[in-house]
Amino acid sequence: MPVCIKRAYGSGPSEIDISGGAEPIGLKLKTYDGNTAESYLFNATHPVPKPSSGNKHSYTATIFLHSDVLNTEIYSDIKIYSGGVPAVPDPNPRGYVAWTGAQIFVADDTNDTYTQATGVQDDSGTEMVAQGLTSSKTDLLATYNASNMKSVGMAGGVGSIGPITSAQRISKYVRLQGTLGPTCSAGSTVPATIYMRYSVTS
Amino acid sequence: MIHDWDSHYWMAKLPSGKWISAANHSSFEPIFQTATKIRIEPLSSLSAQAVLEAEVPDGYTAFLRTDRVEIVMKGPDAASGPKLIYVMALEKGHWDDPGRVALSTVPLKDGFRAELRIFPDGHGEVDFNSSGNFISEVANMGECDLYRFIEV
Repeated sequence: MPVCIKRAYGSGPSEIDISGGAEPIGLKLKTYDGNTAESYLFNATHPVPKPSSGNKHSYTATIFLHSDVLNTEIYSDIKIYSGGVPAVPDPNPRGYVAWTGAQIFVADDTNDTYTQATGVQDDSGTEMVAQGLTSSKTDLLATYNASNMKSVGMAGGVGSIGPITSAQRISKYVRLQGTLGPTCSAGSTVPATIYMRYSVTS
Repeated sequence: MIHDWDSHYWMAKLPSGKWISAANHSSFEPIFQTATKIRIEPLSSLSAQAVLEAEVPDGYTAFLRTDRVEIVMKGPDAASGPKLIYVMALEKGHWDDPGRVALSTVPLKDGFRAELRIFPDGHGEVDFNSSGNFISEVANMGECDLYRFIEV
């Protein structure tokens, strides 16, 4: 396992490698449509219900960049961005719904302290600002793209890290949260793409 | 260091005329900062056939980075972005340990930034930004395109 993206979850926290998007991050919003048989690892077994007013949220996901490449690389300039708000594909055999009334927010603040997400299962996660995870947040898909990336920061607030002598977290913790409004459609939103980019000197 | 995920690697010409490369050096080693010419070359015929080259004028610092792109969440458009970006940069001035410098903290005032972007299907694209006193020239060398970044 070289450099990878991990999600921290639970009280420990536990960690899981989510690189490549194969493991669900828990933000695949599935508005409530009566089908509780989904089997995503995070959240989607407890889909976020469509609010009649206001917003409901996924549990906040905490991710970070991790490396176990020893003695050879220096890391810097870690960033996160998206492929934009995805359009509904045509044809659409999986029946995806548009992102109308649905957003993924990224916390404006990143830090080195893990805090477990809170919320009410089968209803709503605690909104990230309200939980005190960040002072403000930004719509990731609508704002950050390859031309406008969000800087994440290095673990410990340094300018670069490495060469490392033991496996470690190299980025600050980044927090993401899905939010639904009353105009969202029932169903699964079109999968969105989120990237992390980092520089290696080697 | 050359990684198993690399499609290209760097070379640097020392004042003695000897070339060193990523095969046995790291660009954060002090010897790299003595280079008078730097290149990024394809590792094989399967790599995007593009070479990036620049002379390092006196008073300038050379930076090489390999930017990797990891997918956090994968949508249908995930393959449309680059997965690997080889960055070559020059900037006038001195940095004690330029291999450790976050390039984003180095303003483009007198120098250039060039990127060779490698996409999931293997093709490459070159992007070039300059403070105005460097230009980019491209020459076709048979099966390979040579991009030279020249001080004017």
